[in-house]
Amino acid sequence: MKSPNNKKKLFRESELGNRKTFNWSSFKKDAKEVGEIIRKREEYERRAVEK
Amino acid sequence: MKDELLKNKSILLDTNILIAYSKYTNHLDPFFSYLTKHDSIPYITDAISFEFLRYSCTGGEFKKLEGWLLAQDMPMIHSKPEDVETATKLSVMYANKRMADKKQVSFVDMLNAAQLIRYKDEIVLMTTDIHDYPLGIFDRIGVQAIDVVDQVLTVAFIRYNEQKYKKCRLDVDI
Repeated sequence: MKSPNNKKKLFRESELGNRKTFNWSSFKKDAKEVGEIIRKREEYERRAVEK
Repeated sequence: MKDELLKNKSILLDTNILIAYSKYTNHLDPFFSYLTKHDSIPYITDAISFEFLRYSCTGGEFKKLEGWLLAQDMPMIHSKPEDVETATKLSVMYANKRMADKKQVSFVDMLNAAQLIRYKDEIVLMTTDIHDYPLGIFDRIGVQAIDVVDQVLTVAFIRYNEQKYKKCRLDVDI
């Protein structure tokens, strides 16, 4: 996965209703890698609760 | 679910939807394709991004999660002072009416609720946690069960109901 471009900022405000189409399949790219990070964090938290 | 419910809708994605999709991609993907076909547009908020990104434990993980969100190029709604005020009042209303089944609903969930209120019928929330958006104030306009093998996810679409909200505010006098 590429590092985010510095010029493109995540926390930028958008107006509601400007977008008319969206391809939800774009979520699929790199989702597995993201899911691994999420599962790792959840496992860490589960173990912390057990201690 | 009735097709017209989500047609051309702006859909606010709760953090749990982003989490569920990343963990159960193949199971949720058919439903995401359905949303593409119905011209539904996903939105996130600054608070949802915060809640999602804090799953990372290292700078590398943070960049991966941030990069994934950025790659979607989803429009983002930012919190306004009035949202925080609404969220605060809502938390009192939840407590007064015993509407939440947890001791305290998270601030992020309350902000999501406040943003549903600000945008009224322009946006619906997609979430797997129906308990954070009680029927005393919101309507559940659609529910989709998705079998992900180790559990069945309930994906709900939540819409603000102004009449219920006004009645509740009047009852609680806030």
